[in-house]
Amino acid sequence: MKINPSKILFALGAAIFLIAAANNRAQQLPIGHATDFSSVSYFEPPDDQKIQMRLSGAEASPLPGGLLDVKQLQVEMFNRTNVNAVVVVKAPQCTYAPLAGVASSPGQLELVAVDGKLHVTGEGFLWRQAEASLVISNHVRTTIAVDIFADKKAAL
Amino acid sequence: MKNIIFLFLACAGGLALAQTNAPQAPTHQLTEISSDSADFDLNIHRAIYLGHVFVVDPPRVTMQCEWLRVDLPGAGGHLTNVVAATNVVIDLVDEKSGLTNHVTSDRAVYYYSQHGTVTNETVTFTGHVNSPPKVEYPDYTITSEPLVWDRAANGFHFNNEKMIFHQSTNSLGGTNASPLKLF
Repeated sequence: MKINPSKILFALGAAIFLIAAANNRAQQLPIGHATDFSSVSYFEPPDDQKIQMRLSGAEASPLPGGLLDVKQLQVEMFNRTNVNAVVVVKAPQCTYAPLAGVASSPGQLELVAVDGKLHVTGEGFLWRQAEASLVISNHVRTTIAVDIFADKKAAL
Repeated sequence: MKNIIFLFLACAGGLALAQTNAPQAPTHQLTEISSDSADFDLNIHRAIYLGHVFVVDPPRVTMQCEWLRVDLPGAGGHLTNVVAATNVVIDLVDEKSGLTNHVTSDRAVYYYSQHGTVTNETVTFTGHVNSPPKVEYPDYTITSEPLVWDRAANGFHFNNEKMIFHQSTNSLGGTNASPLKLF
């Protein structure tokens, strides 16, 4: 793959911006925005090489107070045995506090289990990264796919 | 917890991850839950629904309540523990007669387990002294504390039950059998 030097410079700038935001909340954030970033956390040892959660966004713009305005938020949850994400949470926009690991938005949110057995939509949310906790404030709709064969066995 | 910030030069990875939604398999039926709000704990795969909770579990069950806790299905693909509380109202459609049985209680606990060839699938309704759970049939109402619906056997278990016959001017005097088996 050919790497464009200007993209590297831009990426470095964006990385410095994100690290600065994470290290000093009160510090004046640099001007500009980042694209295609992600924040990854790992399981505790002995699985500390395995990804537990990945939070990513298509764009991040600085807001006062060390916050980030994130576009196309995506949170992927993994378990210890799966290489691929088992749950994906998506939102078109949110405010992310990197130090606190908290994302929130009054807008739409979608949660999908990758196996297709769970689908959740709602409006207005608060995501706490450390606790893997998601609060949806309004109009929550959940669809759970139940194995018909298990149900029929139960009816026998 | 290690927290590392990466920067990607290309969004190909993101696009690939955005396409991970698998289509619904035809061997699944869909249970729908709507509510005012919800709390999800993705570590333990548990959801708590709050306010105007409405559940549709086709083709036989609809439920309303104010609080619902669901342990989300794992690899087995079946709900195993569901707890509903506060003004629980469940309508159960009998498979054979097509009649609807109307159950009200303070609390309902759904439990499912399968060990070998033995399947347990029950809903246990509980209330309080002045307002025990009740199931309403067209001609009578039965109260019982607790009231257990054995979903696998399609019948109710009662404990110290009381039966109240309805006086209806429209009744033709016939005695309808209970649409569901009574134990």
